[in-house]
Formats: sequence, structure tokens, C-alpha cells
Amino acid sequence: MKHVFAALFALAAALYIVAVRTLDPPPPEGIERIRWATDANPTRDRQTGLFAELYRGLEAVVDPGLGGDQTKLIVQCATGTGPDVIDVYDQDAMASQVSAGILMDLTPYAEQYGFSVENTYPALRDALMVDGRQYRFPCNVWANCVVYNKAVFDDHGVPYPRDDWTWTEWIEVCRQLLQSPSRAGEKHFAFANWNNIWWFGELYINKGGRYFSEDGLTCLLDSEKALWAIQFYYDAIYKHEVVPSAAQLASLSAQGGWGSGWLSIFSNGKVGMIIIGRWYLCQVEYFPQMKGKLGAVRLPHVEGREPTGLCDTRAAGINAMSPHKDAALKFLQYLASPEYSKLIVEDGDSMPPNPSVAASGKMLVNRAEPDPAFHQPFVDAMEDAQPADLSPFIDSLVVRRWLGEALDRVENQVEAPDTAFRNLTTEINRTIRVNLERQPHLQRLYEERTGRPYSEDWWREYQKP
Amino acid sequence: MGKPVTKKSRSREALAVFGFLAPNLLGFLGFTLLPVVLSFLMAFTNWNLKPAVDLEFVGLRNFTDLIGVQAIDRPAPLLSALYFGSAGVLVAGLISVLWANMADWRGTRVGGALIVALGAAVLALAVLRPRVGEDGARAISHGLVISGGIGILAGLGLATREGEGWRPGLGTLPALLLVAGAFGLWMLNGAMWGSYEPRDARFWQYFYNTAYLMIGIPFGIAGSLALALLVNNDLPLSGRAPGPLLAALLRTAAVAICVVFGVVGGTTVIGKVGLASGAGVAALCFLAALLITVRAPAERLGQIAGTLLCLLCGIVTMALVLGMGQPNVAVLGGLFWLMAAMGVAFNIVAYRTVYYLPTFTAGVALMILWKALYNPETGPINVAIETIGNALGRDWQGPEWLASVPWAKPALIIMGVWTGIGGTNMLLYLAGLSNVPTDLMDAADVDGASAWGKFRHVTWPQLGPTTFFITIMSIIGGLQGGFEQARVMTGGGPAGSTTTLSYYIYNKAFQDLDLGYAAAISWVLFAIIFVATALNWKFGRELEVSP
Repeated sequence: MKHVFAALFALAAALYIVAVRTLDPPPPEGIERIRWATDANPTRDRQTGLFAELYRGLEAVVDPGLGGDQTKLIVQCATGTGPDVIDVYDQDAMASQVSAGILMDLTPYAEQYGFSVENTYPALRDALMVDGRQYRFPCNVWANCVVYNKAVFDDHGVPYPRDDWTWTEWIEVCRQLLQSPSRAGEKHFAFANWNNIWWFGELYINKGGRYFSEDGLTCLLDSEKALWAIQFYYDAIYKHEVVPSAAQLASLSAQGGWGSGWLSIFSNGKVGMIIIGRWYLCQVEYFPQMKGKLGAVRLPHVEGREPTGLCDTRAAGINAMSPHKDAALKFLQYLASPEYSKLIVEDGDSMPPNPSVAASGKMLVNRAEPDPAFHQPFVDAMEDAQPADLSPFIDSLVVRRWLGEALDRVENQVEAPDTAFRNLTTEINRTIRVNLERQPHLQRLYEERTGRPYSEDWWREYQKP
Repeated sequence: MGKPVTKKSRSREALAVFGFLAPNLLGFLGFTLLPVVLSFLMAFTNWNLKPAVDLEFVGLRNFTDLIGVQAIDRPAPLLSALYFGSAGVLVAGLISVLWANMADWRGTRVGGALIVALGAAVLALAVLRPRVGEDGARAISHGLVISGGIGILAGLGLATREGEGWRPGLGTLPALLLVAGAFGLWMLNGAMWGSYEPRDARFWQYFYNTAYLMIGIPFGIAGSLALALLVNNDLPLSGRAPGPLLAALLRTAAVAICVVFGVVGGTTVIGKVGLASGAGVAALCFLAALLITVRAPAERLGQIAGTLLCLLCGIVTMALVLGMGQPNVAVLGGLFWLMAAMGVAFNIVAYRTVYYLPTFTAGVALMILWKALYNPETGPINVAIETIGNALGRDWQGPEWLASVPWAKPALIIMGVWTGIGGTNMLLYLAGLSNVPTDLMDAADVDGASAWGKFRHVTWPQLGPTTFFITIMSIIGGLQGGFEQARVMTGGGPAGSTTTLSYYIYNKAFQDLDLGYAAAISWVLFAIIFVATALNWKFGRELEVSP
């Protein structure tokens, strides 16, 4: 028996040696390395390369393993093994991570290092801050436009969409694409609803809606504007039948993440239009057949209203427990530099953080898309865009998850649109009440925002039962 | 004579034993007992990973939040007391029915008849109630259908008991309790849910999902038993000496026919018809050869020859069918001959190994495979459905499977049954079958019992303990399961339809960061599993056959 144990021990020791030898090598002498949790976008290599050039003695290594997975990130940071710089993909995630104590407060350093909110788009101010404190700085900035495949439109003999169009006209364009025969005998989708939360958000914001009241105490997703948006969404799928249902889209999409199914579907010329940011251009390198075939226009708007839409940012924050805080602050400084912004423009990785480098479509021309007319709508969209509003009284990621479920239920015809959203609003409002009841720091925030002392019956004035 | 046992040697022995067990004990203490105790304590706190939330003891609040109800506007305590009282009477009725059956109380037949009537009424309610397109209403309908069905079956089982008259007695009381409880719930249902709502409606939805996914358990168990019966005996590989040689000659002739037709005919119509005819003749020859091989002697040479020739048949079949432009059918044909070759070479062991493969294949890999199978547009399942439909002149469309709310759970059930059917349950049944006394089977043969009779009166009762164990373990696994499927395949959707309690615990703990609440859900799930196991243990042991 002891021979068996000895053999097992020797095997374990051998495996340990192999494991140690396959670990990442330590950084060279004199180089401080930081870990940057971001997605596996191929442009990251150039971005980290430029950082190393500009900041001698520092090195940023991409960690794509987290892949935007909030759960993994929280667990890693809670156990002290988290990355140094964290890409926070939207303000919902930012609010959630701030409340989890993951992100470092950047406010004391922002001015000194030159990455304050004044150094980027004014529209993003609320998207970078929580309770007046800054927690991240943009890596790139997005506002959506409708990107269309000119070849699909030509194939069906449908005129290209134009700026200043309404959602009703958008339905008509979709219908024309679906009803006009394809000269090449192919089957195309008019529109790919690849992100239902975004599309709903664009409709709702354009209608003039808010997710929460100004004080954040009441969810407004049962308002007339919200019900209009969700009804339009539903009708586009089941009444006008111009948008594939979730089931149809799921059958086309094999997986998520960078380079996922829906990108391939559009890039393979199966879809006429898609709502997306300028960062789609990163794909063109891998789908050269799309070069010269892309067009972009502003999002449609509601009749009688000015065009507007959502904006947000993939922005970097710093892990509050990072042992390389100084290096991480320099990384954020690098993100605010014109050199980095120019690289973003060149790579087509959405809009750069520095607005002075993206003041017109001409300035955004790159090798993937040399036509300034493609880029101009994105510049215009940033001028009118606004981030979605949040409430500090409920976790934003929970709201987003529940919103996604409600949209799922509508898309799958499990619930009628108005029922789904009334139920959603009731649930959110109830959770706000419970959170206020149980968390004293939220009660203090209530008093700050309303100027009234907190009482258990506060909600009767604000929310329906 | 051995060495004398001294105190010193005894304590050295004890030390050696302790040293041997220590790592395991420490592991158990550190990685099992301590986390369990911690999670129990956490369930009574508001532990949250958010630094702004101070840790405090909250008593039973997490549990009341989970399974309690709250007034929509104004409370109606009498109504809720009556409603939950009716639910309590119903549960008491259920347990006492089981007890009455076990204890052979007088009047159980009359009680059974009452339960049949109740089950029929519940089924009628499920069919006749107004349809509302809400998931909750669908869940209620499913629950009513299942409850009604179980009621009818259980009632029939009681009502057809032998050796008892149709007089009421103590055994009728449980049925009366059931009827009273069901009536109370039915009368008060509308008023109750008009005034109250669950505090955590998601918990009940996910509990329903978890219970629904357990529908596959009886099918899995039955399938495992059927498979075990099939693979319990060796293949009939015995017969006369000239078998393999004759088989080889026939196969060679069949291959030659196909080659000649293929070469001579080419791609003309005659060629295609000829090739198809040759393939048909070859198929007949192959079948004949297989039958002969099966009857051939189980000697080494015959076995090797048979195996090689089966492999050759597979290659030829694949080549022919590929030539006809049917790659999927070619692969199927090749697999058929590969299985035949393995059976000739290794006998029944080959099939036991193949059926057990899914059990030791990585679960995530299997799930990714099934996700591809279930693709509504390109997945082989829907392609096969459409192909068969086209062949029959029908326009058949497969369902959307994982992308569809009504089909997502059945899809997971089918996958679960496929995975489990040849797994550990099959092995347990094989072990059980090997313990069935042969003298009982011989006696049944002498009495002229049919195969079904032998199974029903000899094999099935002897497998009682095995079935009991498998049932308990399957129920425990079913209540705990569903996490990997939700995480890998569906994300818990669409519309939360595949989120189970285990996935809900994960979401609450690591997405909402509410560890205290997640711990409470875990302990409620533990209580459910404990009660189910206890009931099974108490009443299911009746199946056990005394040796």
C-alpha cells in the first residue's frame, strides 16, 4: 500500500511541477504589470502596445476570462484576486459594482491625472458617476445608429433609409425589404433585434420616458410612454411581422460574446438593418465582404419629437483592492490621452473618449470605412443622446435582469405587453419599499432627496399599491 | 502465535488509523460541516456583499420573505387563516391516506373511490377553467392535471384492494380530509389571491420549474430498467462451424454486386437504379450475414472474422450511401455496423459501455452538444422531423425547443432521460438482476409463466430495494438539479421558464449579492428534500421484499 501512496505522491509532485512551469511568466525586471479585465477584442493588443510605448516601465495585460461576468468579477475581487483595471460595460454594472465596494473612488485623482468627467462627453457625466463621485473613465463611447447593408437594400430594390425618419417609416422600410423579392433569390431579415433591452430603451427614451422618477423612488415603466414603447416593440414582431421573434433569432444565434452569432448573421449579409454603435467596424476586418456596403443613419424618432437616444460607455474603473493603484491610475490617464483616442478612431472601436478627436464624420474616417457619411450620424447621435436613468434604491443589475425577463415574456407571448410591464413596475416599486425599510443608509438618502423624514408609509404618496 | 498486543502497540495503531483518516476528516470538517453550519447561520442574517449593508441578525425574516404572503392592500387575516388551514387539512389528508394504505385500515376502498371522484373533479376543473395566457395560470393548469391524474390512479389503487368490503371506516377519514381540504382551497382561492400575493413569486415559479423537470424521473427509471433487462444477458453468439465462412462469402458477393453496378451504371438513370438495386441486394446479404454471424460459433477465429467483416460492411455501406449523396444516412449506417462489430468482438460488454458513455462524459460538453441538437433551424432533430414530414408528404416543423417557453422544459427533460437512462441506475439494476434467485425463475418456468409473468411476479418484486434506492436518489437529485442546464444552455430562460431553485440560489447569492437570502432558500430546499425523502422512506419501504 505504501508503494501506491508513494507513486501517487510522486505523480502529484510531477503534476505540480508541470503546473508551475505553465504559469504566466513574471514581468521582466523593472516593469510593473497590471491586469486589465476586458473583452477579447483583437484591438486590445494595439491598445496595450501603445500604453507600453507611452508609459515606460508599465505593462497592461488583457484578462479576457471575466468576459463581463459580474459574478466572477465580484467573487475574484472579494477574494483579493481581482484584476487591477476593470472594464465596466454600462452604468447598471457600475452602480452595482460601486454598491458592492469593488470600484475605487476616482474623484480625488481625476483632475490631477486628467481623466475627469470634463475630459469627455458632457452627456456621459451621469454614466460615470454615482452620488456625485466619479468611478470610471471611458475606454470608448457609444450611441446607437441604424447600420444598414446597402447590398441587401439594392438586392430588394428598396431605397436606403434616410436621417430624420420616424418609427412608422421604419416599419414601412422593413416591410418593403421583406415583401420585395430578392433579385439574387436569397432570404433576408429586415432587422435583427439582437439586444432587446437596448432596442426597448431607444424606443422609450425617444418617446421621452424615464425609468425612474427624478428622486429615484418610483419606477415609471408602467407609464403611458413605457406602454407605448413596449406595445410598439410587440407589434413590430407580431402585428407587422417585420422583426424576427426571439425564438427565430435564437435559432440563428449560436453563442454570445465577441464575434457572436448575430454579428456573423449581419456580417454574412442576411440582415438589412441593425441598431448598433460604431464599434461594429471592428468586425469589418474579419468580414471583408462588408467593406463598402455599409451605411448608417440616425435612429428613427417618434412623430413630433426630436431625435434622441441612449448613450453609454465601456469605461474602465480601478479595483478598490488593487495592489497597483498608481499604475492603474496612469492607465486611466492614458485612456484620456489624444493618442489613445486616435487609436480608437483608427480601429473603429466605437467613438473615442476624447470628443475633440471626433468632432465630425471626416475625423472618424478609417481604413475599415473611408466614407465620412457613415461616421457622421454617430457624431450627431452623441450630441442628442442621454444615458438611462437609475435609482439608488434598487440594484440596477437586478432591474435590468427583471426588465429582460419582462421583455422575454412579451416576446414569447407569455404575457400581454401592458400586463408584463405593470407587473414589472409593481415588483420594482415593492423592492424599493423593502430596501428602504431595511437599509438605514437608504433612508438617509431618502431624506436628503425629498427633504422629509422617512416614514414607513412614505410610498403611499409616491407609488400605487 | 502472533505478537502480543500491548498498550503501546494499540495506541500506535490508533495513531496510524487517525493519521490515515485525518485528511479526510479535516476535509469534511473544513469543506462540508463548517460551510453547512455557516450557511445555516447566514440564513438568519441579512449578510450581503455590499459594504453599505451592515450585518445584522434578522430572525426568520428571510424565510417569511421567501414563502410568506403579503396583503395587496388591506390584510384579511381570517381569509388567510382559512385558506392555509385548508391547505393544512389537504396535507394531513395526503399523509393519512398513505398511512391508511400501509396500516390496512378498514374503509380504505371507500376512501379510494372518493379520491377517484376528487381526482376526476380536479381534472375537469383543469380542462374547463378559463384559459388565461399567463405563465402562472399555465402552471396551475399543469398542476391540476397532474394532481387529478395522480388522484385517479392512487384512488383506483386503493379502491381495487382485495380482501375488503365497501363499508366506510377509519380508512375513509383521510379521503374525507382530502376532499374537505380541496374544497376549501377551491372556494377560497379567488378571494385569497385577490387580497394577497406571494412575497417572492419567483420562488414559487422556480419551484414549479424544478418539480416539472422531475417528470422525467419515472421515465428515466423505467428506461434504465428496460435497458438493464436488455443488456443483462450475453448475445447469442453460438452455432455451427461453417457460419463465419459462409458469412464472408455472402458479404464478398454483396460488395461485388454493388461495385459492378456502380462501375457499369455510372451516373445514368440505369446506373442509379442499378446502384440502388445493388445496394438493396447488398443490404439483404448483409442482414443475412449478420444473422449467420450471430449464430456462428463463439470461437476466436469466428469472432475476429465476424468483427472485421462487420467493419468492412460499414465502410462499404458508408461509401455507397455517400455516393448517393446522403452523408447523414451514411454516418448512421456506418455507426450501425460499428456497433455490430463491437458486439461480435466484445459481446454485451460493448453495449453496456456505450450506454454508460454519457455518464462519464463531461456534463458541459453534453449540454453544448444538445444545445446544437436543439437548434430550431439547423439542429439534426428538427431537420429529421422536417425530412420525415417531407417524405410523408406533410409540412412538419419542429418546435423551437430551448427558445420557446412551452418547449424549453420538455427539451431539458428529454436530454435528462437520455443522459440518465444508461447511467448509474442501469448499473444498479444490473446488480439487482444478478441477485434475483435463479431457483425462483426456474420455478416460474416450471409453472409455465410467460416472460411478462416472470417479470411481474418474480423480477420486479426482487428489484424492490433497488427501485426504492434509485427513486430516493433520483428525487433528491431532481430537487437539487437544473443548475448546469440553466447556466450552460438557457441562462434560465426563456422568460425564466428553465430557472430552477438551485439556479435561483446562485443568482441571489452571486448576482444580487444577497447571501443571507440565498442561504435561506438553500435551507428551504433542504427541508423540501428532507420531507420528500422521509415520506419516501416511510411509505416507499413497503416495496422492499424480505429475503
